[in-house]
Amino acid sequence: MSEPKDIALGGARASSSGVKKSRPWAGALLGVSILTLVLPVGFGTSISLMTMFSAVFFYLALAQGWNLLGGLGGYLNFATALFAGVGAYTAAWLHNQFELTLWQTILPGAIAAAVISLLVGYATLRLRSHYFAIFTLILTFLGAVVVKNMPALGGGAGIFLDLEGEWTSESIAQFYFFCFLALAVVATIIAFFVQHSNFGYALIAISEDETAAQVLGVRTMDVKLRALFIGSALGGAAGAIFAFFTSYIEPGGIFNLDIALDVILVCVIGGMRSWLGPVIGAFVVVFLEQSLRLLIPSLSVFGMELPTETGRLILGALLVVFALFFRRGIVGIFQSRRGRNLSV
Amino acid sequence: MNLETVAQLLGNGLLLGGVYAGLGIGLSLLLGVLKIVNLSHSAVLIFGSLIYWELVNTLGLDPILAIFPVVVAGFGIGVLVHRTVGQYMVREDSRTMVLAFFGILVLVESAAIIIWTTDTRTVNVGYLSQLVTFGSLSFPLSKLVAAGLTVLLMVGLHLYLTRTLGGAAVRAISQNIDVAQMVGIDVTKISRRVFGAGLGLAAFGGTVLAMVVSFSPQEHPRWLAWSFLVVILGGLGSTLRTLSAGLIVGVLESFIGFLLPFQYIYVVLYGLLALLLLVRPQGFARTKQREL
Repeated sequence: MSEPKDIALGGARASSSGVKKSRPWAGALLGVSILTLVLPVGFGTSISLMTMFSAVFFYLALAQGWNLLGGLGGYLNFATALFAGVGAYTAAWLHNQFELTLWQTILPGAIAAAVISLLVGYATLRLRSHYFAIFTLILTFLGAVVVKNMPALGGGAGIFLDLEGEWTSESIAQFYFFCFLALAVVATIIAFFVQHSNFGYALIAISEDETAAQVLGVRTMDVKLRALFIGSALGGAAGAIFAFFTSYIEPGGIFNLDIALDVILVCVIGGMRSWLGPVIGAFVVVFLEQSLRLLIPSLSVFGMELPTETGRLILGALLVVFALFFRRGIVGIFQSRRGRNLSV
Repeated sequence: MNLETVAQLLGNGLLLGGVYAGLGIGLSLLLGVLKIVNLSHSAVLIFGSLIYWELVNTLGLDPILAIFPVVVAGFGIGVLVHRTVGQYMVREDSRTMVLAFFGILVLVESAAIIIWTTDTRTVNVGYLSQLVTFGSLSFPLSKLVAAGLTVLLMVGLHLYLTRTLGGAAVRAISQNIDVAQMVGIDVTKISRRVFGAGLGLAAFGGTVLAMVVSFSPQEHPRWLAWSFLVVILGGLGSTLRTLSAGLIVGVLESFIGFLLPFQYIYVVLYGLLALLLLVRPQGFARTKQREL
């Protein structure tokens, strides 16, 4: 079976390398320099700063996973929260039941999320992309309903993770900073290599014209399923760390469309066609959300205090604006458009 | 389970199904005619419910008459949205459109929560809350009215789409928008009306939903799931099939709710949805729709 696969995807490389000269080493250099810039934050800075960067890396990992199918492949997945939630609940359950540590639960969390993603993918990825979008959007809600009605997972009240150990809050913040950083680095490396591989070219071909890609021999179902699989495994791993990080998870908080909104904003604002997009987007979105959170209570309109949902309102408006008018995100500003777009 | 229970469950299910058909029709129209995936469908729907609640509970309007201003407002806002951003969105690729509609979903939902908070609300339907008995069966009048109005509306819409010249133009746009323009149909004007009708019908779904159940703004994805199920089951392109799909979903929910604990409804109906998407994504439609 290996020979047909090479033929199937070989064509994608040939046509794509013809129009676009990518310089992977420049990207790698950029990635390493960003990493060296953020690394010092983990040493001796304040807890709030480290926690904020942890959030950046959490969303970065989720967004890199999302971007494979959503950004490159054009299949928008609104169930990010579901896959992260499955990872979080798997980790929490394994920890409370068998006293597994964080390290031992990351892999099961990722596997559980990936298995769920296969079930979802088989049912929906054969359809046109907008059915996939609606189906995944309502899946998050199903996740919340199912978990709320499972007493073994704490039901609606949620699960506490009993973490012991004599850690200072500073060392905890530092620990999770590096956990999320490591995951974000792994996710970014995966995204980088996918983007510069036949797999990535096949995904881009699918987003441009799926029927044409199929005709040219790309096994679209396989490729889409693989992208969803990798993305949700990353989501599950991020969820597992998140469960230990917050040490309390409840269905309403974790199976929440807000996570999907944040992840999509990260990709859309950063740029959906490049591994660099989520990196930039994650910083921008988390800083933006933090400042909105600080700013909104201090503002008042006609003497009335603004409710916290105002921040969400602004994020929603931002998504509409970026989706319609700045489709290539921040990364798009720095890239000149190479090659040509042909349409038939 | 005796015959009487079965008859009562069937009746409840059909009435509920009538309401569910009303939830799906706006989504179906936009998807079928303009190929727009209105992800914000259920958010608009719940927004309609909340305005309806405000009209009936706060202003004390008649629960049947109060439907009209909500639907008209939905239509008007739809036309306005189409005039400003909608007509450009239609020409975008479907990914951009879905992203923009997700943004609109968040906008509408946040606005609803800011105005009405996350409380669960029930519309005080007044004289509609009395029971109507047929022999040994009894149904609340509100459900009868909600289902009856939906059926009337859908039959009317079906007749409009199949028997009139205006309806033929809408169907022409749904088949091939470019050719429709070539033969002299004012595509922009009719698309605008259809877009308005899509949101107006979503608002209508919100009002009939509010007549029969309690609702809260943040739980709207549930109604998106139900609407989507109705649309998938009915397939695109026929109002009457959408109606029958709604009835089937209602009857199923009624019987499942009787046989199993209520939370299984979600699992069973989602399973049904996944199964349908796997084996028959075109719904009841006899032939697969051609895509160009």
